Amino acid sequence: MPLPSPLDDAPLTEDRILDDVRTIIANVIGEDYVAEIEIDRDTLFYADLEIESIEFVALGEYLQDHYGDRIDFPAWIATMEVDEIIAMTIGRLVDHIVTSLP
Amino acid sequence: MADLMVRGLRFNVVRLGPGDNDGGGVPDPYADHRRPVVFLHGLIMDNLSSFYYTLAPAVARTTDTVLFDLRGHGRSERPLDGYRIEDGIDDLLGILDALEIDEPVHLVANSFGGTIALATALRHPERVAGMALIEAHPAFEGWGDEIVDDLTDLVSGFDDPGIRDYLANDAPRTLRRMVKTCEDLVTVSTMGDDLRASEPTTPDDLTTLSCPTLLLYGENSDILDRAFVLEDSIPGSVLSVVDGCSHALLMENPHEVDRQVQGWLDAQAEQAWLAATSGRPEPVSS
Repeated sequence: MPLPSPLDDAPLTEDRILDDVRTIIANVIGEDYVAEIEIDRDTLFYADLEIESIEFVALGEYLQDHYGDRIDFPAWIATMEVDEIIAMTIGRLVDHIVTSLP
Repeated sequence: MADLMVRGLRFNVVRLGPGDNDGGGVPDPYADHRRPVVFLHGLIMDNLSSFYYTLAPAVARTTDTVLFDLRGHGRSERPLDGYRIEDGIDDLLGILDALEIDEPVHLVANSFGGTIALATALRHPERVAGMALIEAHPAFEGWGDEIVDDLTDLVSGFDDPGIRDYLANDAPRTLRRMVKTCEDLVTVSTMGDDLRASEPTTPDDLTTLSCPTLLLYGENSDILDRAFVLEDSIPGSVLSVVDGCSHALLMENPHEVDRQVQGWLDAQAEQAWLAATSGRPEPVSS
């Protein structure tokens, strides 16, 4: 599948990563559904976006394709209990990406 | 990795392994003696995420690890037919072939995944190095009817007008999609007929198995009787019954399942290491 946005020389700021995550979410769970929801740092994956577990896995795969293995999504998820995953916000994921990248 | 075309269908495949992370920082003495691990999930409401969120990342710290959504499940394609156990075997072997994994693998399977694992080990013993089976459903005579009755009951529960109304208007997206998956598989696809038409396994067949097998069941599982038949039939198999758990053992006590499966995988690697090193001449010191 094509990457959601081309990698270019633009700096990977937090805002840029948040935009990438928004695009990847739309790719994974469908643009029509996501169009009705305002996605910001406080948005909850499970309660607000109603994301399915298997879609969250797909999101991780997309992120890893896009940013490389450094973000190691499965190992990061493995450090969490299920309730922690359920309470995940977009901001927490963005912070993980920011701290994983050089 | 995401999509893989096998037998004309698109499968959602996730491959993890020591190359994907730092190996946890601990050197693995058996690194060259670990067989690839393939996870097989359960029927209808399940998909690869149940292992992705539990056992798979820890296994992948040391081992080439494959997870995939069975046909009709998760993000794999959902065809109208091809749901016999024999199709499940061919899908599994087709995916291994496409990934160029030709050595025998360890199958870690939950519930219906265990049905496919057992059938694969019986028909293609050269592809299976061992099995860790969690709440496995062996396809004994009458199993197909039993499963189809359960699934039909499940789907008929959605047919209440109040529930239909709730699903159409207020239900969260996740629930609506889950119900649609159930209905597509149980009432639209040929899954029911296919499972009933699958070739049954007998306890006698199982006596021919020669690969190491770990059997994990919950103390309160409704299919605990199968555990004892499997233990009696599969030579050298080891049964472990986990206190306080039901058929949903993997979800109810993932840490205990993880501990036992990891321990079993380590023991298999140690055995392979011993077999490879015993009989080898001692290094000659000069």
